[in-house]
Amino acid sequence: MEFLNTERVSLLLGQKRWAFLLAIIAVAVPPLMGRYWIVLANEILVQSIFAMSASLLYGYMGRLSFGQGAYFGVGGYIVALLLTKTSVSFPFALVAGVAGATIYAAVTGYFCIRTTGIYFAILSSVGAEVVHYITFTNYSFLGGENGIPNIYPPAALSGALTYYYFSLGIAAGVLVVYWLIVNSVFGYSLRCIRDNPERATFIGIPVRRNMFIAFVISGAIAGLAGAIFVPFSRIVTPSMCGLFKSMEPVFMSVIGGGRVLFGPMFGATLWILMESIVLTYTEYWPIVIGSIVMVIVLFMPGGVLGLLQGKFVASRHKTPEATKPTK
Amino acid sequence: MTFGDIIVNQVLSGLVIASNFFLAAAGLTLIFGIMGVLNNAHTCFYMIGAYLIWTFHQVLRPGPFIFWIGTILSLLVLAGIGWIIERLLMRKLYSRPFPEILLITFALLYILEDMVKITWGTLTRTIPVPMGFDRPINIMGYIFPVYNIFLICLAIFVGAATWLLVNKTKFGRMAIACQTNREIAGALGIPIPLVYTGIFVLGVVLAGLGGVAFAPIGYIRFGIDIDILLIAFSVLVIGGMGSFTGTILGAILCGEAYSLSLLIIPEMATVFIFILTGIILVIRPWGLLGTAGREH
Repeated sequence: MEFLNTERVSLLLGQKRWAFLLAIIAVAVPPLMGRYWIVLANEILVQSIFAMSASLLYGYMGRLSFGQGAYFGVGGYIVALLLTKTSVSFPFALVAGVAGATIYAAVTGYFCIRTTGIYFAILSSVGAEVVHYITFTNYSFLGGENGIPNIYPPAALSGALTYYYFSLGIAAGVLVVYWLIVNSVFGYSLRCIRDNPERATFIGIPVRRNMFIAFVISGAIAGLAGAIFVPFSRIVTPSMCGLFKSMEPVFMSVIGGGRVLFGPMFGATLWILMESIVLTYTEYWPIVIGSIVMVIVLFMPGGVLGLLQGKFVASRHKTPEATKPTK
Repeated sequence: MTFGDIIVNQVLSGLVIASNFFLAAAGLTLIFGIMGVLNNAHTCFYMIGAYLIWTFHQVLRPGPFIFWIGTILSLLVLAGIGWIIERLLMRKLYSRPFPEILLITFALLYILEDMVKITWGTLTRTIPVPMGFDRPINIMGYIFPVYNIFLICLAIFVGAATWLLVNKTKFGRMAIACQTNREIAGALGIPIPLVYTGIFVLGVVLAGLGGVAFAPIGYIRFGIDIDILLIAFSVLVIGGMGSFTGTILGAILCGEAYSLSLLIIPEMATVFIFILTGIILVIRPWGLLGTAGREH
């Protein structure tokens, strides 16, 4: 099999311990905790999926997307509409939500991938604000500023803990897919586009096509996050699709480390835990997180996990050549 | 009113909206054009300006000149804020890659917006139109508020003054030298830090001036910074990043598009601007008057 060469197997084994430990914690610990922590854990899972969608673009493709909130919102709104106004089954609503987000990602992606640098960031944020304005101003159908309340998951998933396990399954699936993507030939072509787009074109990588595919996959992942978040939060509002919502996954992956497999998950976990702790003391959470993001970007651009991994790798592979100063 | 009258009226109010967009975007394009820094927190200064003029209306003694005194004081406060932010933060960013600049200025937006919330709360405020400007005027048979005419003139004045400053003064020439080649400009003895501080403070004051000038006819409300930020971005990319003439053109296009779409689908006026942005960028990825290859 093409993607199971030795290098990638060793990559998997290197991270296997961590994945195993994480899985045990994620499965075994929540039942022992109170409802508050289960709700929080669920949010961590949703935001982890969301952060992975941003990491795929920023960490691996090197494009800063400020528009992930749009796909989150489109996925969330479609699920909300289907569950409140029609009687379709829950899985169908989820699939429809993801499909809607994917289509919207394809439309905005068509525009975005034709631009580079700052234009890409601006155009993607414009895509998010379009969704925000439509949901904000349409009262008759989308509930306007108040959003759509009273969205209930099916009875089998109505408990907080059962829904948590449902989210956990989906998050694990997304993580595996994410791992397969970033370690595939396609994932390496994205890294190549990030590091040197001209050379990527020269060696025959279809730059635009691959960027488009990555953009759409990222949109679908964000849409999935929105689709499973809405039945859990019971409400969807325009604030879930604006520019600020779009910044959250980017910041999470930057905090955790966008180029590390577990970076987005780690960043999302840190973010949600810090938020819940800070909010018990003060309502001015944006000041705190704004300062943290500034410090991380200025002093450890690889994120927390990126920094740790860099130290870890350096201590393991210290060879005489590497320690000698190069002339 | 005939259909033609409605169109003329809408085109005129489109010019007022264009002035608003231009004042919000002028500082942004100035800072980006000279320093290469896209400041996401820029329109926060617009919102701070609007709140400052409201505060000065509360603390100053009411009189015919309260708006003008308040304007000067607000701009002075904003210049101070801009100076502090430039010295403490922006100065560290000039040599960094642009994604980091975007992330850090976005974090700055988080912080500044929260500080506005702490200082002024989230209530919507209003201030009266300054005395002498609160009556309509008859131009060629069309009734139009005097203050709106003043706003259009203000935008034209600011545009002309900024253009003269950058292109015809020694300070402007130093700024252009820094933009063209920082190292050689430094070697020639141009005080680069001083020029950069000056440009940044100027940009902040321009954004604040937009907020102050449009406070009497708009809302002084929390969250306006994000709304206007996205429009300012659209203005910038339509005109071409860093091109000052392009910004004027972009502002007029966006203002008129906004105003005319108010006639057809009022809810979607802002969305219309964004769609226009997307279409123009696909046709010309570097904007109408931008230069190809300067996208980074």
